[in-house]
Amino acid sequence: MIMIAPVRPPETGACRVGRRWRQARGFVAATLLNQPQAPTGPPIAAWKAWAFVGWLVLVTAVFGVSMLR
Amino acid sequence: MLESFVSLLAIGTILLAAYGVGRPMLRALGRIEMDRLTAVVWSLAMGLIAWGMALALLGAVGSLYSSLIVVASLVAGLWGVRELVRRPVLRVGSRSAETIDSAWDIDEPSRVAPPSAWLGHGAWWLAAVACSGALLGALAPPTAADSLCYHLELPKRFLADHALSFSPNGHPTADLLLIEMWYLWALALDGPVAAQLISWTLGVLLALATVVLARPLVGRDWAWAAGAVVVLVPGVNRQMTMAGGDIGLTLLTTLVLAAWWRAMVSQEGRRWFILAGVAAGAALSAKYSAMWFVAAVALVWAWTLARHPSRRRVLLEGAAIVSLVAVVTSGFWYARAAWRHGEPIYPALVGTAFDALSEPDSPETSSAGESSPSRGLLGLVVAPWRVTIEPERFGDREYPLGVLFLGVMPGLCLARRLRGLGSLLGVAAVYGVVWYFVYPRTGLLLPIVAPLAVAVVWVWIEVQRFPPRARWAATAVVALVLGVSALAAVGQSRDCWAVAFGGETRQAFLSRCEPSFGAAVTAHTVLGPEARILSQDTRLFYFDAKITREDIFRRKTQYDRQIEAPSDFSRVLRVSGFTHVLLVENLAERGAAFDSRFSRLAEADDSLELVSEHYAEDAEGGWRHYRLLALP
Repeated sequence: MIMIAPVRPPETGACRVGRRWRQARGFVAATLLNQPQAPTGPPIAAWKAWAFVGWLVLVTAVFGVSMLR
Repeated sequence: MLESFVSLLAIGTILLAAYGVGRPMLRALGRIEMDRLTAVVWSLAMGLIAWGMALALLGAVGSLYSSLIVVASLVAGLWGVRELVRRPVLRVGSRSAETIDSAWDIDEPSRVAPPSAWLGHGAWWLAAVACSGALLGALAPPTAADSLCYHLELPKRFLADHALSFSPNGHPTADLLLIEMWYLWALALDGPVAAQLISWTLGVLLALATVVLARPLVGRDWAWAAGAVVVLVPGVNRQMTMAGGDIGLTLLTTLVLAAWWRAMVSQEGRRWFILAGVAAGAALSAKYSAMWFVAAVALVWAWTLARHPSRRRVLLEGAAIVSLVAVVTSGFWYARAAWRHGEPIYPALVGTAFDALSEPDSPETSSAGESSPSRGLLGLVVAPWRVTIEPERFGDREYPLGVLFLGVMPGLCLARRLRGLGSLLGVAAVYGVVWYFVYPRTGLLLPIVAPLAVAVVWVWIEVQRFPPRARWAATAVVALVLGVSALAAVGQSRDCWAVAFGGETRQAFLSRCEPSFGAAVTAHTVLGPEARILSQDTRLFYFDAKITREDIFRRKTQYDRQIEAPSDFSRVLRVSGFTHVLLVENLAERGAAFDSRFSRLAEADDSLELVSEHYAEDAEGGWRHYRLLALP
């Protein structure tokens, strides 16, 4: 029995755009987003994390104002 | 542009010559497991230290000739090229992973996830931008007060005298001159711009040394982020544009930590103690404040000794090795200081909390005004805030540490314990306490920048455990801080772009930006080789004639006490061998302030003849009036 490979229809304009769009998204994801990582440890509580962020913002703001003086 | 290219060529020759000497020295120590970057950094450091000692010995025997230095540099540079081409750098050896003591300890750097591509590359792109800005600033002729006062003035005098002479402008604390030997090397090969480029090169080496320090703790990828953080510290970046002493000291203390950590914490062999001793000796040859750093390391070492009695023998042997090697490396300078002053340590106390009778270092004081903070325990607790937000209270605004350390370091309370980081931070904490109570000047805090950068990176690794939105918010703030630092580094050098790229001659740049240059050119034109000038200004480098700082001359000779009548002024100075006096005053409200005692004495004596006068604006907005007067 002879197996015949399925016929692949020619790529239409919409398919080409969709393929390029998928390639672009993959490129952006690889460049800007975090790589899949090994587990980094237990997560930190949200309130502790936001307290740290608040301190960081406060210090940066005060420093910025002092430098502009 | 050609002048800038020649200066860069001189620096390249110096680096090759250092590598040509340092690489065989490193090989002679025997087999030490280290990766390529570590080998290159240590080869360059060993070479620079060896060259500094060799130039000092040449100066001690009166053989400091530029031609000799140039020939030796070219020969060593060719050998350095041969070393690079023919001999591969030592390959990394495998280090067996150690067991983790608890689930909260991170012991194996490979267990840490690498940074995301944009974070890792972004930090280094910003560091490259900052380094490029600093390079453009370093390619302009020197105009920093400290550089012109003694960091470049002393090497210039040594080359003119062909010996390590005791300069009349030698500040009592300026007897440790290892870093000035590197500037002397660059002056011999090219000139003051090459000497300033030495400082820039030391900054780049500091970044690489921080990578070497951080790699065993946080892994290769994150270690590069630590190096980038160091270069983005505003104080470090500014020091890279001027010939000073702090960044060289910071490089050497970072190398001490890197070697000491490998020997003591990571237990990678006794040969690392030898490298730590060499770096410690070099640091002790650079500045007296290195003693505080060595004391901090010794204290942490003693703490480790108490906690690990089973390793007592190795630790004591290591302490003996480091001490012996450090004494051999630095002994020349302390022996020289002892010969000059009668003892080698007291000069270090001038201007510190131990010297109640100290006078200001220079009559040129900053217009920002120094109000020393009270040195109590409460002041110590709030010192990190004040050093960050109000650096002018600790010297001036020229060497700020930036906001990153104060902002990120509290994150250590949320982070897990990283094995070995506590030792580094212990050294930084002890050094900081000593700094605060002995001599709290911002520039002297730079030696702890590298261990703090490692801590910042560790906090950043732990930030990956934050909820996503908090992680992105923290990332955005840190990226903003680093980005502004990089842009500021480029912006602060904008006055130098034209001269760096050849659009302005160096003479035109100096006429525009250096207030003493016009007076120096005039003095060179009208005065003969026998002229000796007593100067109220401390910016002496561009004067070709023999020139002495009046404040140091007055402190040494108390000549003003011999003046009873106005006419005694010229008589007393003539007897001392001077032919002219240089007066300077600031006619504006902003800018430097000068001690007026000297000018009052000179103006009271009618016999002085005005030779020339010159007006110039300084960098702080002052309007300086120079007068060159001839003694009768």
